[in-house]
Amino acid sequence: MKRKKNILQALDWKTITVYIILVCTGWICIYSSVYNVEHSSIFDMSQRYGMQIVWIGTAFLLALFILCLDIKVFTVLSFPLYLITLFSLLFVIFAGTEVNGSKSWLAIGSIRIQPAEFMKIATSLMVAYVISEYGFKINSFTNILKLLVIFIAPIALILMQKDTGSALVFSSFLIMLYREGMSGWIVIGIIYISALFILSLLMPALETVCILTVLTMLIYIVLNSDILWKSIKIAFTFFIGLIIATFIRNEADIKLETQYLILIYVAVFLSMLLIKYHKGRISKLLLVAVFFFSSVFISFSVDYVFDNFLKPHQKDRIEDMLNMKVDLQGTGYNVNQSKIAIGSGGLFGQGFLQGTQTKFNFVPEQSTDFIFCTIGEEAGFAGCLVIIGLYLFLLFRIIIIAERQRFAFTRIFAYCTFGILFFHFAVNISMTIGLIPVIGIPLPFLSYGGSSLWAFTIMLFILLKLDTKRWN
Amino acid sequence: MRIIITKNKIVLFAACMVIFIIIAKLFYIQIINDEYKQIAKRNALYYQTQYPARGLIYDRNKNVLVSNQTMYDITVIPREISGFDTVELCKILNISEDFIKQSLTEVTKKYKNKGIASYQQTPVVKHISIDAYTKFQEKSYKFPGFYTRAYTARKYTTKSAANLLGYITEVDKNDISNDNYYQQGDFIGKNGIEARYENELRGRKGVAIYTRDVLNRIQDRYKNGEEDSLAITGLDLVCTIDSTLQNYGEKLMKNKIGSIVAIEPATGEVLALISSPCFDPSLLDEENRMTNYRKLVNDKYKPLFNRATMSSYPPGSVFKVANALIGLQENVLTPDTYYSCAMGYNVGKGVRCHSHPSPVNMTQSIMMSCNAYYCHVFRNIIDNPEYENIYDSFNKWIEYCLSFGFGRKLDTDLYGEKNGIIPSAKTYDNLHGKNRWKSLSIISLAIGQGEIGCTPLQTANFMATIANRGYYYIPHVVKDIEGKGIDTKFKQKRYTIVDTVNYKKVIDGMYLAVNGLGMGNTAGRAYVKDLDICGKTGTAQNAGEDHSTFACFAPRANPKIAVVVYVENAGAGATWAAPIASLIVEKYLTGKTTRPYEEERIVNANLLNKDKIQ
Repeated sequence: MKRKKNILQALDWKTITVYIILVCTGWICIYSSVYNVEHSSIFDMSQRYGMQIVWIGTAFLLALFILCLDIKVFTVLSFPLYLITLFSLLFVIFAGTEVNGSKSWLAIGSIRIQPAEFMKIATSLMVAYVISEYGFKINSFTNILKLLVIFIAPIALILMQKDTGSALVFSSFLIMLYREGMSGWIVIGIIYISALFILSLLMPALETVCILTVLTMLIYIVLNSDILWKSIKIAFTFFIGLIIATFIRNEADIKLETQYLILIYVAVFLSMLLIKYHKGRISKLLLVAVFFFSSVFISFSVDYVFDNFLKPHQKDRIEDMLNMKVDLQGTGYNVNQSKIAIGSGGLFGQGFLQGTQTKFNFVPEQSTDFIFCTIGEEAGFAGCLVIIGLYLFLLFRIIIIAERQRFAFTRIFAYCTFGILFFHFAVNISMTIGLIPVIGIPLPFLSYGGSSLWAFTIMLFILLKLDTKRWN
Repeated sequence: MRIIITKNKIVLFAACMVIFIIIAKLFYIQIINDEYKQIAKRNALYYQTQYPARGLIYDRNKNVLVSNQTMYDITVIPREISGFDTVELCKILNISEDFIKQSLTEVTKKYKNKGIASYQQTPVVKHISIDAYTKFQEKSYKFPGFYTRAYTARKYTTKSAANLLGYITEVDKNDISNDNYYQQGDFIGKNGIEARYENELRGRKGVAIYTRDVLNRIQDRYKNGEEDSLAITGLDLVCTIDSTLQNYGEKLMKNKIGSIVAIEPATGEVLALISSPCFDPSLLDEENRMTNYRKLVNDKYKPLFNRATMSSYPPGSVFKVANALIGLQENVLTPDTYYSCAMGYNVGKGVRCHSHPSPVNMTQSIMMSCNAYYCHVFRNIIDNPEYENIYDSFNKWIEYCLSFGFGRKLDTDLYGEKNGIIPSAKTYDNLHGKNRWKSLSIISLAIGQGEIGCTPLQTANFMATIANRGYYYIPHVVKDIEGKGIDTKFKQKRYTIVDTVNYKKVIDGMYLAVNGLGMGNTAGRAYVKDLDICGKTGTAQNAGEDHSTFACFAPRANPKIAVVVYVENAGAGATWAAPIASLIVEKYLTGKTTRPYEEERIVNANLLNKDKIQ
């Protein structure tokens, strides 16, 4: 079936609608978080909400401009664009402006741009171009090497700017690689190794064990995806059982630290599974068990080695690299205030401009990285659900768009977009509610800031433009 | 139904799991956990504390000792400060420019570190005069961000009893964590009556709750003041101190280290409690505390150490009276028991004595303070065949001592009361080995030396007990809490386990010690005509020169006062402590003194540094 449609009909309007809603919500949140009586005009350019109007306007213009381009531009120019952005990153290292400890800003007059934001798009295009080439096989050694170079160059440059958050975003390309044929094991393996090391250093043992437990059950489900519902049921039973076990521990006043309780519980649960459900699936179950216990072992020993064997200056270096010191001291306060703000929202929130924590600027960086606090406080749990729902809808749309493509290029780019958006969204919200350590990356479309709004807009609209050509 | 699993579904499923975790956590902090809402409320409402006036302290004759005065501070709200004339501000407040600049940078630094402080009033210039305060009020519009803060601090009308009264300071972190009543900036009593009666004196803070807007400007009363509460003024205390006597005692103790405790036997009320060196309580008031506290702490004579309740001195010969009472009660001694003294008790290592007629009976032994006599008495007590072994008899002796109030806290309302020392059998087991010690090994206890220590307060209480012929009231310094009375425990007679009849026997000796002129009495220097002082000298041996001690009560028939005086390193009890005690008694009973020469000699004596001479 081959149909010719004009661009307006071919555009995915549902995505655009969600995009506009999110951007406008973002502006309202910024207005609320920096609102004060003296500067109440919304066009006051000395205030962030005034500036954000400029950013939004230009973002819309950019979107229009992209929709007017020929799609060949994206494939043909992907390599030059990648190189130019890479060079601008290099340039920033030497001539950039330092903001909040990371030298990642390019100042042009009074406007500051963060090239790292655009690097994500350029890398996505570049990768999409390379993988969609005829004859590309993801499991061949030369191809893997090629991809590694494409990823590592920008990551290295961004790390040199001490912008750990943006560098971490590149891990989201794993989602695309997984979809494009890379074995799920590699994704899990990479997550397993890197997350484990970072988590063990940044988090108390208990939280690491909790996260590992959740991860284990996810892997268990993936492993047994041929009997998906059954494995989900088992995972569900597992968590219910864990809650009951904790409850019994508390009631019986048994002095057992939670992390060890979990370890014992997992061991018992897995042995029971082995006997009851898993005739003929022993190898998979053993794999899960080996995964869980070896990771707990590694996690505990990372802590142990870090605490007992490293010299102070080595510790300092690692802490500096992971931004641990800065985060734990400086933003331990941030996270606490952020949780207070979100927690005070309750079910329906305090109402627009009524959030007391927002009003008093208790949460630093509230209009940028901590914009979610404003929603949490003033719109409450209900508002949070709406925003999360909008994101979820957007993410679903991107997958739908990705899967309806005939050209691999568009699909790959779509998965890159999905990955980057999802990573930003999940990591940003998780850090504001204290689920993970603070990683300074913005919430797409909502956070204040020209670079990030432009970058996400460009990315989304390149995808939408590519999508209009899905029939030919 | 079998679902076909494709990679895109797995990706979406994993994403949904992550989002599920996020929603679960949001649900927890927004709906389940209430704590964050509480903290948020605290941030947004302005609780203006209404400070109550602290209770006043009167002496027993209703003279005000401690009252309140208003103090003024200049405070700033860092984020509201904008351009002002530093020179003019300094002129109004009469401070140097450097000072204001330095304190302002300190405050703003704090504000950079902690976001919240920028909304809070923080003091920059403390204790400005009322003149500066009014001048500043007039011109405060010129200094945006600067405010004034008025609060009450202590004002001392008395110049004495600093350790007894205590002082107040701003609460520290410990105080706040120990009692959640306190908040930053509150005052709390430290030491003395201020600390012991903190709960009564402090009253109760009230609060006025306001809502505040974006700029921290107070808007409205929260819920029309429904949840506000009024401050309740602290209760006034009437203490048992006679400030004339207290002042007089401090004057006598000038340039001496030591302590005087005077108790009214019929009530247990402490009439004077002096720990020397003394200092003016105003040294530790709000205005001067900063500069003086360190000086007082570092002073080599330790003026902040309340010797009257905390210092454990060997009681010396005063303790012979206790041993006499125990001997009488145990029936190992009668008033007519005679022992001879050959310049000491020459058994074992021996105990030396001074020269006096011999042999002596019990009355004479107290009057002349014979050491040998009490070695006999003590050995009779410890080697009493009524008891199976030395442990039983020694424990009985301890029981007597404890009943006199030695070796334990008296449970008074004085701050920082110490136990003193009464040795236990275990002390000697450790020293000599189990069953390896005998009455002779512990013979020093006979004359109040060795492993024994009593605070002046305990000794004074013992004197009151003798004056009462067998009971005491727990000594106390507060006699009334604004009409509420005091704890009933101070109104109960505490009997010792020695009968009244035996007390009467030792009192004869104590009477003669002071009044037995020409009979070899040891405390003739304490004699005052018609006052019938009964007393006992003590010369407490220690590492340095002996401590001079005297314990007495008067008059004999209907005792009105019991006094104990310790003068450290001053030599024999008769030389210094006895005349000081008799002057105190005379002053209290007659309101005047009849021996100006003695008074002058004592006031002018400088007995500091005598421990160094040796």
